[in-house]
Amino acid sequence: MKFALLIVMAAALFVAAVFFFFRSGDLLTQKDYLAGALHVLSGLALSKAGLELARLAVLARAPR
Amino acid sequence: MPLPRSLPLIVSGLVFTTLSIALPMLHLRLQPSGITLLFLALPPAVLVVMLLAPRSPALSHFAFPLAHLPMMLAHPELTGPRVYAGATGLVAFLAVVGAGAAYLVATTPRLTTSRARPELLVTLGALLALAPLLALAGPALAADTAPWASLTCLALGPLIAWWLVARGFVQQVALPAVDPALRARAFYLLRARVRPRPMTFVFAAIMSALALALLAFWYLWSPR
Repeated sequence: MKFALLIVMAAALFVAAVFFFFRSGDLLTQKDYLAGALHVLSGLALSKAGLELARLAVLARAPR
Repeated sequence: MPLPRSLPLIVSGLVFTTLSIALPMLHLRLQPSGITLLFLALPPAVLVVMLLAPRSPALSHFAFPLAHLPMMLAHPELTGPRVYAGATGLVAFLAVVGAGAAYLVATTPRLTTSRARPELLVTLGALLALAPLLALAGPALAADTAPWASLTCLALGPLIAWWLVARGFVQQVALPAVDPALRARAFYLLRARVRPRPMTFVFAAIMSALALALLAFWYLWSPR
């Protein structure tokens, strides 16, 4: 249960990160470099949070 | 290396060479002659040496990828916009990236006899690498995009994918999932990290105060 919850939350964070990367691509192509860079940073932060949750999920699962 | 174990290595290496050199040559109708024939034979030759020699990261992660360079330098159009332009170019580029990833997976030694499913982890890793690549390449390859803006996007995609997968997913999730020793080490590091230390609290308090001060400054004195 804990594993599934953590994986779902990690997946949600990765999806949100990809959305931010897509928006950053949009902004960069419109030459809005500052906004694009800020969106990239937000995406990286969300990815990092997702990675942490995925790692916790792996560690929370009993070894087989 | 026994043949069944080296089969993924042979297949992924040959697919990578085919996609990055042979198919672009056919697409551009290039006729190899003289020294370029030698350049073309270089990657398969390195692959054969890799199969005969003991497992060596210098060969697998350095010599084989570099063996493609002479041909690409002799014919720069193989990696040019005539091959990788437009939607079909994007598909070709992704195929080359996928073949490269498959080759890296094939050359990575199995660390454990754990029953964890590496296929699932490899698929997840590939998805995680492709997602930011596609998210950033999509807007960059749209029509009427400034060249420098497109290049920025196209350069950012692989960097983010590398950071996310090679530095993050593989090290922190995939390896602890398949290797009990690395799992135990990750447990130890996690416990060491969450153990409270005075300096951590001081640093967190300073950063929080700074963030709140910036927020207050922005709302109170921002020129709007």
